[in-house]
Amino acid sequence: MSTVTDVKRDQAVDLDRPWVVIVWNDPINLMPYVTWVFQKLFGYSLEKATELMLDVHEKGRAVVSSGTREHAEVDVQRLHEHGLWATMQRDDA
Amino acid sequence: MIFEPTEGGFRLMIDDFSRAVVVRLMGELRVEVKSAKSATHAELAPHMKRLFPTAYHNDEQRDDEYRRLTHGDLADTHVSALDDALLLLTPGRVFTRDDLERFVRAVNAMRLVLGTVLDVSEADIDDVGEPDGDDPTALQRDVYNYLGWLLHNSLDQLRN
Repeated sequence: MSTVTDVKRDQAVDLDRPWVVIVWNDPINLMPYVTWVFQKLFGYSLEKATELMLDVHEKGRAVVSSGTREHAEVDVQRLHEHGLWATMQRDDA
Repeated sequence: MIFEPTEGGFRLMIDDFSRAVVVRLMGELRVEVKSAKSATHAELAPHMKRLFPTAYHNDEQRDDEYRRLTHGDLADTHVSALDDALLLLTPGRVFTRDDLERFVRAVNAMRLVLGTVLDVSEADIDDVGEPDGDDPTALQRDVYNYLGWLLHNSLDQLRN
């Protein structure tokens, strides 16, 4: 059974965990388009943006940014404006 | 090269028929997105849901709240990109780099909707193949492939 201390500790740990923004694979967006969006929105180098794009394509998803919940919401909204399938969640790493 | 360098930017050099088809479909999509602005997620047509994706994975309550706050702005952003692209498709219009970025977003939005209608899969990553004459979706497949080609060329221009 959890004690009040346990719950408080768990909540503190939870609040410390950043939010991550995940881009999911889809069969329609072109690979060069996804790379271009990562460069444009996050200022990533071509090499970094390509690596993330390949993660999305080959592994099905990639974490493209992290930070506060508010920061993640802004990033998700910008990705949605560009047609990418992005979601946010607490970092489970 | 479908972009011709000119003073102040470059011009899109595509044939009149292709230009007219893209303008017509872009105009139709604009109407659909405007209409989607006042719709709930459940009310959206399936092919339009791709332009309004889920933001919170496995958290319906937060996702509903997020949608309530952002859905209208997202619809406005899509409409604005389509408006800009329609203007840029006027023959002879000179594109700046910023113009081309908005054009790319609008073309991609059209491709997303059309790809959803055609139920495109991973096997069709670049195009959906040559349609045969009896296929009722032949025109849509042609346009989908054309938009992919237009997008590739536009992205190449942005990289230059």
